Amino acid sequence: MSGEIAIRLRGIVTRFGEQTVHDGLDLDVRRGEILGVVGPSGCGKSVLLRQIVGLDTPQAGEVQVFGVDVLGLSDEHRRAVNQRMGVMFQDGALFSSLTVRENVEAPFREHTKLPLALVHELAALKLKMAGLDEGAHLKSPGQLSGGMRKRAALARALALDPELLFLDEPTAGLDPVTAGRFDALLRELTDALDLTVFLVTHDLDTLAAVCDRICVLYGGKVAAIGTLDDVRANATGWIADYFSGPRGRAAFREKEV
Amino acid sequence: MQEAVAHPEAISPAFSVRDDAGGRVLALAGDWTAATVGEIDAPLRELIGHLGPDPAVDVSGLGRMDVAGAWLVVRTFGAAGDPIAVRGDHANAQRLISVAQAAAHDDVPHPDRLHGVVAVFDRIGHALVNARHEALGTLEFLGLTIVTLLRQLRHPQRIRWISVVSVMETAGLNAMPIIMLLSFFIGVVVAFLGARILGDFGAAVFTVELVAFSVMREFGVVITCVLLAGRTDSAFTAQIGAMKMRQEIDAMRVLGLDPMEAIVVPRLIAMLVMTPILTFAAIVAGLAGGLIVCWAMLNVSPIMFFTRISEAVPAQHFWVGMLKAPPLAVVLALVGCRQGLETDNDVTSLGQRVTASVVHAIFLVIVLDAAFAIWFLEMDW
Repeated sequence: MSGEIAIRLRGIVTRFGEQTVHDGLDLDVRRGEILGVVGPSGCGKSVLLRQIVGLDTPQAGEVQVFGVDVLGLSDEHRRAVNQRMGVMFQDGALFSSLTVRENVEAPFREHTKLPLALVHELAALKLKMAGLDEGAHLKSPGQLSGGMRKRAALARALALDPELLFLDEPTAGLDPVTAGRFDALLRELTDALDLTVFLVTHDLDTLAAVCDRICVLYGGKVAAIGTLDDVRANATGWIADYFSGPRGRAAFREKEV
Repeated sequence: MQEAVAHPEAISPAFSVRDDAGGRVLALAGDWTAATVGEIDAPLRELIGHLGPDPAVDVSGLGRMDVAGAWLVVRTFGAAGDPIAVRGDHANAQRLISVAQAAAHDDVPHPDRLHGVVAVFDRIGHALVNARHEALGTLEFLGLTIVTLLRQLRHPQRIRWISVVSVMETAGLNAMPIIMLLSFFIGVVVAFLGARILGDFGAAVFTVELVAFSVMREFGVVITCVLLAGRTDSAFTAQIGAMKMRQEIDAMRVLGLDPMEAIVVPRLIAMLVMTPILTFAAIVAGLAGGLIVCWAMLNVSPIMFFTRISEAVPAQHFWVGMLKAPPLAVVLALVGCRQGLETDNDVTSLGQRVTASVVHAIFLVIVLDAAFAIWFLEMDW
């Protein structure tokens, strides 16, 4: 299974005016892995995520998802591919005019013909899987704490059982305990549901706890990719600073003991 | 290409129940995914509680399965209790069923909703209480603003003049063209009606007075304020509301900046200055509209038009119109700012507040204008 490639990026070039963000970037995401994407602020991690899910288009290059070149697809085919993906945005991006459960019901109502009672049940099930108890299901997103909003957003991203899950800074803004629980939940769900996860993060604890492989974006290219230990062992320049700074050392201390 | 994009054709899900030595066995067939399981929801619901002791599920004939399919199995077996016995080989059925069982939930009852007549009265009651609340809130805000303004007037150097001028430009000056255009058309319409209807009585010459009276006393100021309510008030509320949502107002308070001084007073001063100017411009444009119709339909030359106005229409009518501008400007600024500051931390509330801002402002403009009109007429002004 690990041999299969879920996402294949080739020669991605992205420019904003004068500034070149991606300069011929190549990247493979294997099926069933959690790939953690790190890099300095502004290196185009989130832009890359947006390009894969079809919100942005690179100036040049090729994006293949499940072996299909998605840049040349018609809108209809693009939607079919996107139904196999789930995206969780940084602050959740829950629809504020709907309750939490209605947020999770939205994809079911749009894409399936299930009876309403079953949709309610399935939405509640997904919320429970994401760790939200019944008490929160009928609240509006504004009434939830940051951690609960992220869980609700995860439940919505998982609503239609996607094969590919994109997470943009899932633990940003959470306290370490909540973030740790979220990491554990992510690992558990990935294993149980056989997900492929593209995870953009700054959180070294998340990298250490859940990622199978790490990809470092630097200078418009993939500067390093491999397991955490490989990347750390061969780290130079920015990557070395990243992993051996005080925050880095704290995150890996327990692993080394 | 298309085959690669879409899933392979789904096979309809099916199930059968057979009695085995150990207990009843639910045998699954076809694909059990969110896209397909809708059709077996009802029959499976009937099966709940009829599987007897020690049931098992047979997945050897199962196609694809996802969490939705697994949930139907779990629901049929009863969520609580022992792990569900799974027979046969399948890539992920066992794992999905245990995930769904672990996340099994209680039914969440919908909150009771009122129906029919009771609901109507409920809403009327809420609206009345709300209206009283809003009225009191606006009065309270008026008081707070007056106190802040007086305090600032003692130290004029503390007034944020840059902000005042900026609001004067965006909220006032930029509204000038549209206000003059609309007022021009109102002048045209009034003169046109006057020429026709007064003409029937042979009194077409009085069209000039009709235009001058109505535009100076009423239309100039009302058109200006209604337009400002729609254009500027909504902008105030949306701006301040967005600031509130992004915690900028909180940041101001913490830094020792009074939002009343930094946000409300500059807007109030700018509106107090600009509304009379805009009203004046609206009166001029309205008269111009009337002039053109009189010239074209009644052969009243521009010189005759103005001579007639200066002879037959005392200047007090102009001042009555202009006098109404400042109080209405206060209403506009206060309603816009207050609704913005009342915004809660979600998008729906912002939408409600902007709507409320425009509705309240137009309502108050018309009601106050009517009160002024009656009062001025009774005073013989």
